[in-house]
Amino acid sequence: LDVARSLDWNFPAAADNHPQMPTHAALAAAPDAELVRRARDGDGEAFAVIYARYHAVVYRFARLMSGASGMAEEVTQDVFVRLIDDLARYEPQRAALPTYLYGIARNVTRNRLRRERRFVALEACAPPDLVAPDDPCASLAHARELARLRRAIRALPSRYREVVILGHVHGLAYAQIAAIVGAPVGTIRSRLNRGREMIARRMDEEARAHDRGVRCAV
Amino acid sequence: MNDLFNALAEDDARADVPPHVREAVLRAWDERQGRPAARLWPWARTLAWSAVPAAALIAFGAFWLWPGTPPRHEAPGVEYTEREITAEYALVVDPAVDPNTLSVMRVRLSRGVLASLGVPMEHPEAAGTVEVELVVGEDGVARAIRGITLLPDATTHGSRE
Repeated sequence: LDVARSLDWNFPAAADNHPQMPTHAALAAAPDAELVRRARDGDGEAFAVIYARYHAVVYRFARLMSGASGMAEEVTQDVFVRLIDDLARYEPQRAALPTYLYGIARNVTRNRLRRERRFVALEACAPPDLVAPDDPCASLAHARELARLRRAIRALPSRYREVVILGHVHGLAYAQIAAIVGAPVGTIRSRLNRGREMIARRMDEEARAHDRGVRCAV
Repeated sequence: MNDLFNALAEDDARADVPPHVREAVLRAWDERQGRPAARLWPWARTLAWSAVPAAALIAFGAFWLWPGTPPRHEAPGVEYTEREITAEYALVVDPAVDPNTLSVMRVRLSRGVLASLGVPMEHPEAAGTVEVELVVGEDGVARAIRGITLLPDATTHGSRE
């Protein structure tokens, strides 16, 4: 996983996802602090490399948080535009760039969700994508299981949801999540456990309801 | 459960960001760097900047040397009006709102924009630009339209015959 590489907050290889973006190999391999320094001096290519390196994790985080690709796109755009505006104020020694970007993504997503609470994303109601299978039954069951997990994550209160996404899906360490969320490591650990329990319970309930529906239909 | 989370992460990693997001971000970068026309050649930019004082000089000279008011290109049967027309149009602010938190903001809009805000202009002379006084709350949200002034514009105003 791309995100699993982030344990030491070192993402250079993530730029491989977008070969059309960074033009200079040296820039693509440059550390974050160097890229930020150059971007601050007006180097557009350095900023493009920062975008190439981190846009995917920001987007995926926002997508899982909101359950909607449209909102995730807007959040991704907002996060990087805010980075442009804050480049002069950003201090690399205070927070690593991914921590900083995740932090903005978290705030932007939460604000948008709060604002748009009354709307239901179309994707939230949409059936899961079905992948062309070798074994259609196994693949269908797998897709259904994933959709159930997505729904269970989406149903979590946001303080549990963000921690579960960062910890269990993006593979971040407790300390990194604590830095992003601004809570002690002990709190993160307990939220992860509690979130996991809630997910398991909800998935069980949904599976049982589904089985009951199947039996009724038969 | 861990396997399921890993499967979700793998599935999620396939989702890619549409290219228009990158374009919008890089456009914002260009705007913030003060180069909306980044592809402009350097000499063209220099030329454009030097044209500004030249245009100002020509306009200044024309103002002093022109004999009287410059004649307008008038189409037959069209009369040009110079007066301001005040439309009798006002909406009342919600009485529950503390009036001390409100302020009036004057903005110029095209008639089409006004219509899109829910106030279509039926006035026959309402073509072109209108000046609108908006009553704005302290949260920046416009609460009401206090008045609409039609700005001077060339309008059909009856036949000269």
